[in-house]
Amino acid sequence: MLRSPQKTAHFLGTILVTGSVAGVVLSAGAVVALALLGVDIGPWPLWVGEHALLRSAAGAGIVLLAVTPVATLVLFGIQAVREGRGRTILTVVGLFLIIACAVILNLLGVRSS
Amino acid sequence: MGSIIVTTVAGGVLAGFVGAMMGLGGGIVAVPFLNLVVGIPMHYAAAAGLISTLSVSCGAAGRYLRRGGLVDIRLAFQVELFAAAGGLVGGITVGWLAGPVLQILFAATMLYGALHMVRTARREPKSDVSGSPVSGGRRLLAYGLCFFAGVLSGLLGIGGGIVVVPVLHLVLALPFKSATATSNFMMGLTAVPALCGYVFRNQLDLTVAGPLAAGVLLGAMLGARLMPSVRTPVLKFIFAAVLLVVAAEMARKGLAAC
Repeated sequence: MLRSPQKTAHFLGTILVTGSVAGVVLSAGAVVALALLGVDIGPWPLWVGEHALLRSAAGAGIVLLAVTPVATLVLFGIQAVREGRGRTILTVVGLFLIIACAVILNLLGVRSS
Repeated sequence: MGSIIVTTVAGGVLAGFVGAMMGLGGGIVAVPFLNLVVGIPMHYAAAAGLISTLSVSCGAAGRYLRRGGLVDIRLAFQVELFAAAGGLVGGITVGWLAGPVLQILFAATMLYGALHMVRTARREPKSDVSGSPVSGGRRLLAYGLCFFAGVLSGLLGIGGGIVVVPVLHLVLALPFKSATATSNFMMGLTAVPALCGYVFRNQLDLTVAGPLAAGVLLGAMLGARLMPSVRTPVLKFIFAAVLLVVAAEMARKGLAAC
């Protein structure tokens, strides 16, 4: 079933706001809790050592924030597949591949924005 | 630690507000603020700048999308495809091309953009949401410019919004407010790969990142709420001033390195 552009925009907007607010509340809340406990977050990995849960929550919030825009891209792509919009599917797949390449290059230490 | 958190949140609110109003990532405010006011080393401040970009993108674009009409989603993804490809090429070719020449070239382009923005600022747009249709050639030109902007962004480490907003507005004839909202929507995707690199190299300070994200998100939502009611000429004059500052800084760096 075709979804109107307004509905699509509202849906993607809701994803962006919900994902980012959840991520930020999780991360900032964990940082404030750690500050109240007088504990330093320390380096990664966050899930090892004392206060691992709070430290992991601080990192997980940022991961959720980073994943949110990618989720909108994926959801937009899924909708384009359902509606059979070929050019939009190609654009989304191309963009996804470029982002994936950039992530891999960054992880390998080759600077890529 | 408490004072750092409070100061960072305050700086984040300002960065988010400016970012949402101008279609920028907020790094232009957040990075110098963290480096000069909070005293965080530049590498860590740059990583936190990406958190600012993500928060502005989600907070402002989320609100613009829910309000409806301001973000051109399909155009955003099409333009982002070319900008991201350019960013990938720019990031890989760092060091192969002469930096100072590019910086001066970039400064000249920004100066042209600023002058054009001022020249057209007095005209109130007929609509904030729909632009005039553009020819296929103009669209190709915009894609090419976005690719080039992506290359420069990757080479010089500048944010995409400062280039994308003028391209969307001046080349693709998108109304200024729609151009800034569309730019806000695009930029979150651009920030993700670079952020992965910083996290992998352990250069993301979470003590700063969490509170900064909270402040920026708050500021971005506030900016996105106010932006539609601000007159377009005012926004364009402020954007032109930001362009001039970035152009001057780029030219200074380029000339100093020559």
